[in-house]
Formats: sequence, structure tokens, C-alpha cells
Amino acid sequence: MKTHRSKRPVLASLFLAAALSGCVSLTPDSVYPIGTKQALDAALLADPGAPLEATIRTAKSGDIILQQAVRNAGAYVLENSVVPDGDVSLAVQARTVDLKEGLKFFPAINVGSETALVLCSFDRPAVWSPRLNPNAKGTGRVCFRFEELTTPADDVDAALGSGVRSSSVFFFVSDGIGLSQTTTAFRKIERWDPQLTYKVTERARFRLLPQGDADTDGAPLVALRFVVTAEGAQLEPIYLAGNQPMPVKEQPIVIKADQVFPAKIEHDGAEIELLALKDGVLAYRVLSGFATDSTFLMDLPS
Amino acid sequence: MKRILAAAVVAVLSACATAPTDIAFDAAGASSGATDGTVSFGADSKDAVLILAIGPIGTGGAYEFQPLNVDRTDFAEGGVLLGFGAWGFGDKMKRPENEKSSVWVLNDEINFLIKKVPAGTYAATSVSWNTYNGYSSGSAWFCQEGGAPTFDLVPGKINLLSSRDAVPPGAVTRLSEKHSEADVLAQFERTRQNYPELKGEPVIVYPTQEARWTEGSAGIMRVCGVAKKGTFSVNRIRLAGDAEERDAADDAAIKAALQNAAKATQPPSLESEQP
Repeated sequence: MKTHRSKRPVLASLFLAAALSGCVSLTPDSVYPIGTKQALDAALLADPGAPLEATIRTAKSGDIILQQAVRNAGAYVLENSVVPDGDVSLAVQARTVDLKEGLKFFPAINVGSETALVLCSFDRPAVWSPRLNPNAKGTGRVCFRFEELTTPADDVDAALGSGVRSSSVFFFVSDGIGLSQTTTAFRKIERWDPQLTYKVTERARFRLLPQGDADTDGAPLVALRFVVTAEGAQLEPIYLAGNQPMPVKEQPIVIKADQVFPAKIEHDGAEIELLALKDGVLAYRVLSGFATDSTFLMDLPS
Repeated sequence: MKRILAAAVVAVLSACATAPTDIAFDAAGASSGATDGTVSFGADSKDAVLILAIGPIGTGGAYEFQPLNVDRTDFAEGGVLLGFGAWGFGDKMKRPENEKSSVWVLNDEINFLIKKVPAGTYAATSVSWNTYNGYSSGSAWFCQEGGAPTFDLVPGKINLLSSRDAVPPGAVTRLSEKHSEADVLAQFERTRQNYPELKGEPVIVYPTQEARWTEGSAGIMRVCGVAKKGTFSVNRIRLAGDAEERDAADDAAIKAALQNAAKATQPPSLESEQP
């Protein structure tokens, strides 16, 4: 999980680049969906009006003490069907794309050769097949390009806007190295050929949909997990993929051996009161959940 | 992903036998007994049928499960390898006639691996795969020592696990998140029609724990399913307070919490105010 930080893309694999050498960049751009967190289940919150004893929860090593679903920061619908103004195929790969009215898109940020706001399709309107093996057809997403963000700290919320947006430039993105599995709109996607953009014959118009119209299939949960290790106790920021905890690039919150209780800790807007740590069992109260009023760049493969 | 090591899986595949379609199991009946080398047992058995739902099969690979000892302080002997290959090699169940699998990794489908195993607690220790998508290929092997989902397999039952719960995103043969549990069950029902002697409702098994260890060695080789002494630990995977009775340890922590809270609200003692 990343928060409004520019990140230089890394060369994920020479293997695919070698396979496609001569037609794509060796260094792909990364496209991060923009996400927000949904409100915390009230049942996990301590009732401020209740007696202290009734609000204390306990956790043993491995227990998740706080979890919230994430969602895309918006969903946009294509208001007009558009077509490319030319052939979109590559030398090694035949490609077509069907950009029909009604196709839904989610906001994302292209990072790499440029930092730009983009809208990427939830569905996979692109169809491709290797010229050497036409039967091995695959499908893929496309993204429409919007304004360049001059600094990583640009106000993404403001840039998203709420009115009708339009763009005439799109590009293809890939979910993974040579794969065409269906994947959710919560993970980083790759733009293997950042130098290749395509135009449509008329500007594509996008309208923001009401909240709740986004595709939330496979929406992961972000969470804080209490874990006791040989080094001590800590709260690990994680997310849940399937039913398994996955690490995120954030440091754990260490509960020191000489920690004085009660103590309040804050993480990403969540406030937790630590009341005791006795024989590996943490007594605590969740006072508030993760912030829900800000956006972040997601890379949560689920 | 903590570490991916490229490795060939051909050796794995070559050692596997095709999953027999005459597997006999009656979850509601008595033991039928295996007489001909097939997987055959009943509801009173100490064994379990392990079914693992996986995604596109690529050209081959394997999932490895290692049992934990009784007190869950280390691995036990008896690792289970579920191998598979594109053309039906290994432990992959035969797909329905009209839903034949393809060599291409592009196919977003559900496949099922099957094996009879002793019931118990198993960690999904490693996964390997070999892929080909029409113009490129690759192999990988991944040991989950940093956190392996761990499952309690119920004796005498058809235990249905999802690779989504067993291995992390990035494993090529992992089941896509787009497949719901209902999809998995529906496809399993169609697939098992090739296995008329496999009877009884499947039990969906989720990981309830996570094993962590430092990879140990056997002889001169490092082995994923062997923990270096003193490094093995198991943590739960659950939402705190979710449908669990408080025990003495919880009560002790709450008592300590109340004492700490009371101490924090006490006014400073007279002694401490004196110069």
C-alpha cells in the first residue's frame, strides 16, 4: 500500500522484456489504482459511553484487531462509444479494442515516464493474440490519459473532480507478466509500452457514477494484526488476500517490553488504546478506524 | 513475494501418477477399505480427502503441504505433494468432458487436485509452477517460510481448500479472485461426476493459523518443509473477539488493563508531591 508517493518503476522481469524486445520499453510504467477506505464496522469500536470493563477487547498472537474494506476512489462510465483512429496491433501481437458506451472505469495514477491521472477499465475490452500462436487469445484493460500531475503531492481528490471528463488518448495495460487472468481493480498494473499511446476518433466522455456503482468484487481488507514474535509484540499493518494476511510496505508498531499502559497509538487515522499486555495477550480498545476521507495509491493483489 | 526461486518442475511431474477416477470415499458411510491401490476409505477413517482448487494450470507445478506435530511446535514427517501437469499428469482431477483444460495459462478456469492424506494440521509450505502463454514461459518455486497458511483437515471428510487461501498473489496457478466460493463448489460438483465413488458433501476449510519458520536443512540441502531449530511458530488468523469465549488468559489481561487504567487516573500521592 502506498500513500501519494511517486515510485520509480522497477524492471520486474527481463524475461518478458526479452520476449517482446523490439516492440516495448524495457522499463514499464506502473499504474496504481486510487483507493479509499470504507468505514469501520461499528461493532469493532469501543463505545465511549459504556463502562471501561465492557469495552476492553483482548487479542492473542495472530488476531486481527481492526479491519476495513477498501474501494476505488470512484467509478466512471463511458458515455459515448468510441473507436481508435488506426490499427492498435503490435508486430508480435494482433490487438483489437471495443470501447463501448457503458464501459466502466476506475481512477488511477500512471507513474514512470510521466505522472498522470488516468481512468482504467474495470472490464477487459482489449483482445489480443500472439501472431505466432493466434489461438492463445488474451484480453486486457485500457486506460485513458488525463492531466499530468506536476508533483506527487498534487491534490488527487481535486483532480478527480465530479463532472464529465473527456480524453482522446488511451493506452493498453497488463495485469502481470504475460498473464491474462481476471484480476481486481485494486492492484498495480503495468504499462509495458509507455511510449505507445493511441487516439480515438472523437473524445471519450466519462461521467462519475454514484457511490456504490463501482465493481467491488474481490475488494481486499486493510487491517492491523497483533503478533508476538521472539523480539516482542507488535501491531503489523497488513491486508487480507483471500483469507490470508499479506504484508504491506509499512513498519510494524512495536509494543516495547517496558511499555507503560495505558498508551494510545495512531496509525493511518486509526486510534487504539493499549491497556495491558499480559502473557502474550493484548488488552485494548479501538477508538477510531483508518481514515476514510483521503485517497491512497493501491497495490493490493488479492 | 519474499522470495521466488526459479526451479524446474519437470522432476516433480515425472514422479506423479494421474489422479485415478475410481477414487472411493463415502463421507456418510463406513470404511470401504482400499484393496487395489486406489484412494478408498470412509467417514470413520483417520484419513481425509484433500481437494485443492487451483487456477490455470500452465504446463505443470506442485503445491506442498507439511503436517505439524501434535503440539504445533514444529513440522512432522509426511509432507504431501500435489503435482499437476497440463495434459492430465499428476493429481489433477479429470475435468468435465465439455470443460477440457488447455495448456495455455490464459485460461481462467478452476482445476482440482486430489489426494488422500492423514487428517491433521498442515501448512502450505511451498508452491512451484511452470507456465507457457503462447510466446513465453517461466518456472518458479516459492517457500512460504515467512508465513504459511495452515489448515486443519477434518478426518473422514472431503476437505476442499482454495489455493487463494494457501499461497500469495503472484503464484501463477493460484485461483483468481474473480471466482467466488459458489463458483468453486459448482465446478467441483461438475468435476466430481467423473468420480462416482467419491461420495459426501465437501467441507470448505479455511486457514485458521499461519506458520513461520526459518528454512532448515536435510543433509547438505536446504528444505522448505524443515524448520531450523527454535524458529518455528504458529499464529492464529482471525478477527479478535470473533465468536470466542474468554479464557483465563483473557481475564488476566483484562484485570491488568483495569489496574493500569485505575493507576493512570489516580491522583499523585502526597509523598510524590513533597519536595
